[in-house]
Amino acid sequence: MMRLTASILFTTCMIACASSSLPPAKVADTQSSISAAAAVGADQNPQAALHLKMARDQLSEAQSLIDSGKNDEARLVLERADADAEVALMITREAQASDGVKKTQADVDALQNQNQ
Amino acid sequence: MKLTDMICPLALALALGCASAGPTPELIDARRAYDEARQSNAATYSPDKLLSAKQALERAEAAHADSPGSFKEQSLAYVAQRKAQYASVFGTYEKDRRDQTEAEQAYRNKQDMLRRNAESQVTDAKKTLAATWDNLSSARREIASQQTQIQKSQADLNAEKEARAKAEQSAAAAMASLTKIAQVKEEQRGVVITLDGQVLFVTGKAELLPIARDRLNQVAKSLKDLDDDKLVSVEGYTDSRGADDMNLKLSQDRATAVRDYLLSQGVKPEKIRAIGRGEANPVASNDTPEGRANNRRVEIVVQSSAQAAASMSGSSRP
Repeated sequence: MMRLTASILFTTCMIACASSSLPPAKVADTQSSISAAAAVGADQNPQAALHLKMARDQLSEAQSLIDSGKNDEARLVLERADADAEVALMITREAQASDGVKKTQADVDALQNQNQ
Repeated sequence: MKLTDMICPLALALALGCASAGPTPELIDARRAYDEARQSNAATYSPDKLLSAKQALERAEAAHADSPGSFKEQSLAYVAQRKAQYASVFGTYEKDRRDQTEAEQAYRNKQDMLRRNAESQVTDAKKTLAATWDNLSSARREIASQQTQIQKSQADLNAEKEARAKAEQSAAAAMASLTKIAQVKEEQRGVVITLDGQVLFVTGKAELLPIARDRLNQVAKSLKDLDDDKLVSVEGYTDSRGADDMNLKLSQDRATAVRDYLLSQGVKPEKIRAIGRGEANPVASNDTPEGRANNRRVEIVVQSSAQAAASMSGSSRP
């Protein structure tokens, strides 16, 4: 019963919002988020690659929705894609930073050993 | 907090009378992810990202309240979950960067320490080297100065030997020339130079004849060349004719006259003494004119200090 109500409300909302246009910049923003993640090497990190894939899939899903005139849904899907792209980017950078710390600490240990 | 966060949306949902519409799985995930993010490094290192995650969750909760189970709720909850995840990873990333900075600082400190150690070792080594070099130099100077000293000592020794040889030579020469004018004998009391009284003095007097001066000049010459430790005693003798006391006085006067003359020729006064012995110690018989002539004499005795001491203590002589 409630779910039906929700569906009705949602549909109403969708109709109400159909007139609101989706700025093309929003798609471009998501694309650049994905590009940024790929640029730092997110495809090489399994966990980041998963999020990057989800971002790309959602971007194309959003594209389809836009093509179907479902701009509000598309907006939400783009937000998801954007969030995944950002997570992919941050996972990649964190892994790289973590490697850097390990390497530097190993260098410190090496110096320590050299000193002895 | 966790409980409150859980309760608020539930209360909201209840208030709206949506008891049958629970949160979507996405919203449940988002809530859990946000709780995890609050426990993570995000709280310390990326509070702004955590705030964004909170706001995203609030949007999702609002969507849930507005239209539970809606696509909007699902999507915003999905986004909220990712924002919470992002905040957690960002917190870890920020911590990594701080760790990196610290590790790099530790590396630089270590390097500095190693460099300072190496530098101080170099400095120490240089100091040691310089000190060793100084020691070596001063040792060399010491050796050089000792060598110079040795050479000088050697030279001094050679010069001294040469001087001694020369002195001995001239002493021998003087002694040799002396034997032409006087009788020279080596006796236990010393070297005895015997001068004939007749050649030296006017008969019965203590007055030197002119010819005596020539002879005494030669004697003086040889006495001057003597070593410092030698002593000279001039001893006057007479024959046995005449009174003893007269003879003793005459012999004393003559010895004194000879000594005074020798002093005038440069023999050192502290080395020479005059003794009158009268008619004592005759060297020949007083019964013949030749014997008496031999007994009238002046003996110049050259003694070492040891011989002088022996002749002073012993009153009688052979």
